[in-house]
Amino acid sequence: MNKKATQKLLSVWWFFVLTVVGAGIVIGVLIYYSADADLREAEANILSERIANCLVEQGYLQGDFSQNFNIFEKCGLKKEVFDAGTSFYLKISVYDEAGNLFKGISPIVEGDRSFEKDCQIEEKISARYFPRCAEKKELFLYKENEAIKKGRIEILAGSNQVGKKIALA
Amino acid sequence: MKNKRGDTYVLETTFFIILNVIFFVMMLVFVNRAASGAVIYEQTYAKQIALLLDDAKPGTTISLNMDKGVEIAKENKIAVDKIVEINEKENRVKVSLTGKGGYSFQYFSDYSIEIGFTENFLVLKIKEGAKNE
Repeated sequence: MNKKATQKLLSVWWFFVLTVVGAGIVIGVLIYYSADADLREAEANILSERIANCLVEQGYLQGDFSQNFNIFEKCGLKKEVFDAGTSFYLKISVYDEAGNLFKGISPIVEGDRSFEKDCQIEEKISARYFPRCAEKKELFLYKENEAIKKGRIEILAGSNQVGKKIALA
Repeated sequence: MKNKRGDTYVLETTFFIILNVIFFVMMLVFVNRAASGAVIYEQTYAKQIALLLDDAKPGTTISLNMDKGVEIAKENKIAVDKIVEINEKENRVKVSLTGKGGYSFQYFSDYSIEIGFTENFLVLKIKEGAKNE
């Protein structure tokens, strides 16, 4: 091959290299910056922390905790956010010193109930679109027959919120 | 007498180098624009504000530096007080920096929120008592 032909081939080859490098950079950057910041775990942690802080005051369980306890009103949560089609989940189980349900009060469950199972699966296998959960255990004191006893609260909070882009209004 | 072949070689090499420089400058500009794009800031601010609201107790005042957001909004001729909207009915934070849509993120807190801007700082006041009280 003569020198001119080699130069031509080199320029075509170099053009091809630049195209590949350019396309690689563009695709890489677009993939990187179009990825959403995943806050599901952080949200679940905040929710569980908030419930724990709200139910236990200075080490004692809220005095009016009963079967009809309104978690939304007491903890400043919006009920509609936990209604059908929600991205959140909440399960609160309160146990007495013997490990039984506190005063027989059944666990408070709000939001999407499928999250509990999904989170168990997500713990074992990596599932991108499954919710993320946070589990929190908190000890508390309560009075029974003038004696101070120790109880336990177990909170399971989950979130599967990814946010949404809004089109031109 | 000039060497014609030498001149051509210098010209070709110069042209080749200039083309390469142009290419890499274009790539740098693209990456820089992608990294400082409004879409990313809209998402970041919306999520940041929602988490702050969820974590805040009533009586709290939150001040959030939104320098970059305000800068982008001004470039797009968006009034500063229109950047962040809080829909208390749907419990959603909406951030728009371009006027072409925006990004929305839900929060679960049920406290009334007062929103304002002081220079480039977003000021959120979480009021005592739930909205429906």
